[in-house]
Amino acid sequence: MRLLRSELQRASARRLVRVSALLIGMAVVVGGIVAFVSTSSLSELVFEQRVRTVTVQQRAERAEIERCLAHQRSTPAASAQSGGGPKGCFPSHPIQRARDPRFHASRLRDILQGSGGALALVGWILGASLIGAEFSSRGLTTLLTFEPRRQRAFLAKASASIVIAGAIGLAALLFLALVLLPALIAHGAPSNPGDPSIASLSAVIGRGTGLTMLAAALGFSIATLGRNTAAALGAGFAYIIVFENVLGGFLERWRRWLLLGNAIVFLSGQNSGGSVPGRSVVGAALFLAAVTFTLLAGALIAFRARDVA
Amino acid sequence: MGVIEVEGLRKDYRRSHGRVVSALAGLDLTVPAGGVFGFLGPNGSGKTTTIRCLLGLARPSAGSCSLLGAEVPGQLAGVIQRVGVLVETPGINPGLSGRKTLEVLASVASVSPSRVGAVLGRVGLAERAGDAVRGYSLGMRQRLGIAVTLLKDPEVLVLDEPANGLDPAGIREVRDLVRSLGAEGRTVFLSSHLLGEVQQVCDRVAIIARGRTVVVGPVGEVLTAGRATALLVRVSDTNAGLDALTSAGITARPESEMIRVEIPPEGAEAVTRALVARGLYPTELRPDRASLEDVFFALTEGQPTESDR
Repeated sequence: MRLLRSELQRASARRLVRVSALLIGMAVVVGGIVAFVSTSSLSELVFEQRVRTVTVQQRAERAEIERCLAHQRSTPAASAQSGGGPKGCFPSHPIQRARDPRFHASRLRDILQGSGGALALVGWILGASLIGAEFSSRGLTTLLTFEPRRQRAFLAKASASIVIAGAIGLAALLFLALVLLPALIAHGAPSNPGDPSIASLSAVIGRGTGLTMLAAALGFSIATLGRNTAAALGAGFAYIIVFENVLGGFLERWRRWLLLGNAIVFLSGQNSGGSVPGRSVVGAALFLAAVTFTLLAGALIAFRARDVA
Repeated sequence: MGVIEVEGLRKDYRRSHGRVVSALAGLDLTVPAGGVFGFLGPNGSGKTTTIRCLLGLARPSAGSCSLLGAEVPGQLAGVIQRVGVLVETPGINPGLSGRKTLEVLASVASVSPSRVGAVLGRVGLAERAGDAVRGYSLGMRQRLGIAVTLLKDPEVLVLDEPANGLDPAGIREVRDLVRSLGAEGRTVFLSSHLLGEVQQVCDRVAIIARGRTVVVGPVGEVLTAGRATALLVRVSDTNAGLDALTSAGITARPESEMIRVEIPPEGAEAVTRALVARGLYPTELRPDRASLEDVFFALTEGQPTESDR
């Protein structure tokens, strides 16, 4: 525990950690302001009136289109002369819809899910950097002259990276939910049966935090194997370009064995979500955990065996 | 039995095309308890590799080493508490202050936090202890590195180039510090390029070249082992002096504005007699003492190349 505590202190003092936390905080605040400014309150009665008005307009437009098409069918010569054709019957402006300016609870869930994915990317970078920087700054050398048992040193460093990434992820998602509350309270739509419950929103936050921690562990493992941050970032980039794009794009049955599809299923909380056939949320979580632990174990073996510069 | 024992230490690195490069080629070394032991060798001779093997940072290809009687790396954890280490430039987190750096490491080593103030004072960093390390000069970082080595109040200090980046005043402070640490009964294993410094502070030295020990022993003995002693004589007429000496059967040759006489210091009387017999009175007559630098170059130049196989 002493070692873990000291590693947490060292890692949290890293500039990247502080800058990341600051930037995420600023992005969340901006997101909250944008959500509030871009939405407005509207009574259900007024909204229903808008829907009715738009529906009437849509029906009138549709009838006009049908009338035009029927006229062209009956008098093809006139249609050719006017140079219109069937396309000439359709209005140039888009079909009107009833705009709902209110903030829906389901949107809160979607924003939290999307942010969870972005935070996983941050977790990957943090995990990779926290060990990569230790290799390059030779902080590991200093640590090993105080704690030469490499397994302990590795586990403390890995745990610190995962905990810090998880703490940033959790804080960011909670803060995001908090800054979106004014928009939800002031401009929220009346609740409907499809809205997420507090429990399901908590689950989204929990899964987002979990994915951030797994991503941090993956980044940490690959940076340990490559002995620098760039190795993990490069590997991540190459993986997404080659495996996810090429294999996932052309061979659909491979998607359930790739990270991105499983991450989407896990984050969405819906079985076979993210167009990954036959993958449950639990299955996705187990797959991601298995990959992470395998890489962590490989990194530990390499760290124990190799020389430290 | 020595505090540091190295026996037949080999360290091979595999390079491309199966080529093997030996950084250490069967190094033997024994460092007795107490005093300052200088560890010298040209760049690439294997000094830092020896230190890394000794601290469990690098795995030897063959041979063994022990520290305070504990076999490295297996039993290193049992004695690391009694060893302070500075390997080249200290690996320190730039985001932490000097004081925090030491407090974090003190917690890893279960050292009382009160010791932090004491070591900061000893290396002259007390006034800047609260500043972040990223604002420290190279010399200040080096002092902090030395403070890290003193944190555990160690019996053995392994210092690899502790004067790196220090100005002349800093070098002098480090020299005094190393000397006082040796005088306190600690064992200081000092690896350095500053031969003059080593000559001033060390009781014993080992010189290595191409991964092997060339000479080891008390500084005085090593100095006399490297080169035949001679006398330097200054007379008003150098040519006449040379003629007088060669006529007396003494080997002599001009060196700068003096005459170098290949005779041990005990032969000073014969030299004076030969010169006075020709009416030449020496204005200066002194033994040509070899400096550690002279011995170092005499011993390390022209060593057979064994590192590349």
